[in-house]
Amino acid sequence: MAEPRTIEAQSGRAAEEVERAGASLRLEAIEKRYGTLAALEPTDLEVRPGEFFGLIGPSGSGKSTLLGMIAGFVPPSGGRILLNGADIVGLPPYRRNLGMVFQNYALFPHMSVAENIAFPLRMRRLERGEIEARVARMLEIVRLAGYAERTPAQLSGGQQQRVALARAASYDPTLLLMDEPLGALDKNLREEMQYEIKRFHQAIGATILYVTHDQDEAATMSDRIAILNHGRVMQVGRPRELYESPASRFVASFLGEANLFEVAAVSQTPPMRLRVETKDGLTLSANQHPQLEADAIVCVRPEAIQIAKNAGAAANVISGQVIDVVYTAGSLRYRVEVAGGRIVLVRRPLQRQSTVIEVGSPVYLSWDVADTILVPNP
Amino acid sequence: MSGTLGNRIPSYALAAFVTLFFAYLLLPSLIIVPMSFSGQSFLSFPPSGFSLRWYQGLAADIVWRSAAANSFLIGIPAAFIAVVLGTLSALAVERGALRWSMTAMALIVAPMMLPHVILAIGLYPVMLDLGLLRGYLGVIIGHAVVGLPLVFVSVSAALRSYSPALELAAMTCGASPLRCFLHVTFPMIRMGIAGGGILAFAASFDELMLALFLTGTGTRTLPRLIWEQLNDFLTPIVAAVATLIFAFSLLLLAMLAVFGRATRSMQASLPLASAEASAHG
Repeated sequence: MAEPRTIEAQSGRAAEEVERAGASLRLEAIEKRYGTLAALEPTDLEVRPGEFFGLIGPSGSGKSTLLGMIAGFVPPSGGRILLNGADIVGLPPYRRNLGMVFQNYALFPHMSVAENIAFPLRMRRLERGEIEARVARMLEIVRLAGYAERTPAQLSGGQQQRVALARAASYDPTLLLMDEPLGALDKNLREEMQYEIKRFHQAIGATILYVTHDQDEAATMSDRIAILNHGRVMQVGRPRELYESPASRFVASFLGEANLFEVAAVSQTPPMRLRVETKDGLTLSANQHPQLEADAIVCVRPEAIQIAKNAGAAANVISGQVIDVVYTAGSLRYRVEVAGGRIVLVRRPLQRQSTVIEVGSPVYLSWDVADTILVPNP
Repeated sequence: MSGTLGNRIPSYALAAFVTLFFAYLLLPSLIIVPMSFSGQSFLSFPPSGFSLRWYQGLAADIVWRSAAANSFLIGIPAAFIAVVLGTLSALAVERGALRWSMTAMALIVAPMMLPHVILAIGLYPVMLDLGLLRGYLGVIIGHAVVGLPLVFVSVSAALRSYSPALELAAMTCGASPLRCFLHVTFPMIRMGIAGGGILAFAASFDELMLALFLTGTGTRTLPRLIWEQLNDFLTPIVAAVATLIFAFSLLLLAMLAVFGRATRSMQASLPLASAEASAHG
């Protein structure tokens, strides 16, 4: 069996392991160019200690490049990456002391579950007793206590991903990177694993940077989100902020569903209201917007809109005709044609008593003044 | 159930075809076996009589014995060089971000496509110049060139059989490139390395053309001696040698199979500690 190992204390590493709280991560003008092609424009980003930070965007938006640069797989073309204040750009991946979870788990197939989790500990030359204690603790946290001697091939996808979580966190890294960790799982398991990962985050306390292309997943799990597009960070904020006050057309349409209207003219109407005329010929009412530039669009979320057969007294009322109604789990989705042939999407939660408005019915759509969201459209 | 009969008729035909196919592949090689036990003193088929005297003659003959020894003295180092260089080049082409990896692959595999006589004619003046002609080193270098593409192809296939994310994962776990190779890459590709090594050895073991050009009387290999003997004396002793080589090749194949099974069962039940000890041993 193994000879006992002594801890070869490497001062910097030992100091980091004592500190259990999550790391702060700060990107300063980090960028990646391939020739003249920019995979990531110079980007600044700050992730707070202990935060669950989501990084979302369509494929090719630069989110994987960004993660690869933090992990050390992709050398940046410029800028700095500060982990707890220290620049890690010059360090190879194996000296960065961070954990990473991959989309296809990347478990070592020739090692048992326990050996996989022990791997980072062996690489750090911890004592055998210490390794066994930590492996047992991690198995406990991911609820796989009876599975230590299985091989990855004997586990389900969800179990494999839990082993991957345990391996990435077994040596208490202060920053965990997750690259679409649930991308290979089916929908039900994915939702279950979202809670599993949140619980895991609370148990280990590390900062987590979570990359996904699934905006619902990011919104469910993250404390804050950065939305990337074409190699740029479009907006950073809490999921609710991004949803309720998108800073651009892209963010408005990427996060959740949106009815977008091009604005033709805006004028002041007392008290503190804006009268917005859209290019479709609609006249809408909105609250004052402090940073509104000349060009803007209006975003109305489908679930903010009431649908009824008679006009109510709301700030915004437009008439139209139902052209389509679809039942989706728990809600009804109407498509309503309004003035100018424009289609407006409406989503209503469905109660047992709800009556469904039939296709072809003339209806009135109404929403509150605060739900007319003005979005800058540069 | 009505489909069963309909499905079985073609399956009999298929079985017959497969049997014929394997007979076509193997019988020409197997014919040599009865010929080696012939009582006659010239090579003939079908053989008449039965005797072991050709095997006895073989065992007693210093010329055959030294040729057999030469085949090992050349084949083992040639396979070793091919394994080291072939594995390194497979790693470079499959995992290194080489811009010219397709060109590199074509160049590495080239010796497999080119006729050995071209390589032999090219190496002859070079080895003459270097003073390596008729010595061991010259033919070892030549045979390593022949074996390298076999190792390269075998190890490349092993590297393509798993995701490079495994190595990235090992590195984020704190494994330096060397430890990443020892703990992750090597266990994943060792079957490919062993298979490639055995193929490279077998390629050297029955290679004639380079041996004709590069070996001398003191270093001649079994294939070269068979070639010379066929020109001079057509006795069943040649069939006896060929039978022994045939049996040896079967042994190599069996080694490959047994090694493969042992590796898999070891991987399944590897205790945590012994992997650690062996990797640092």
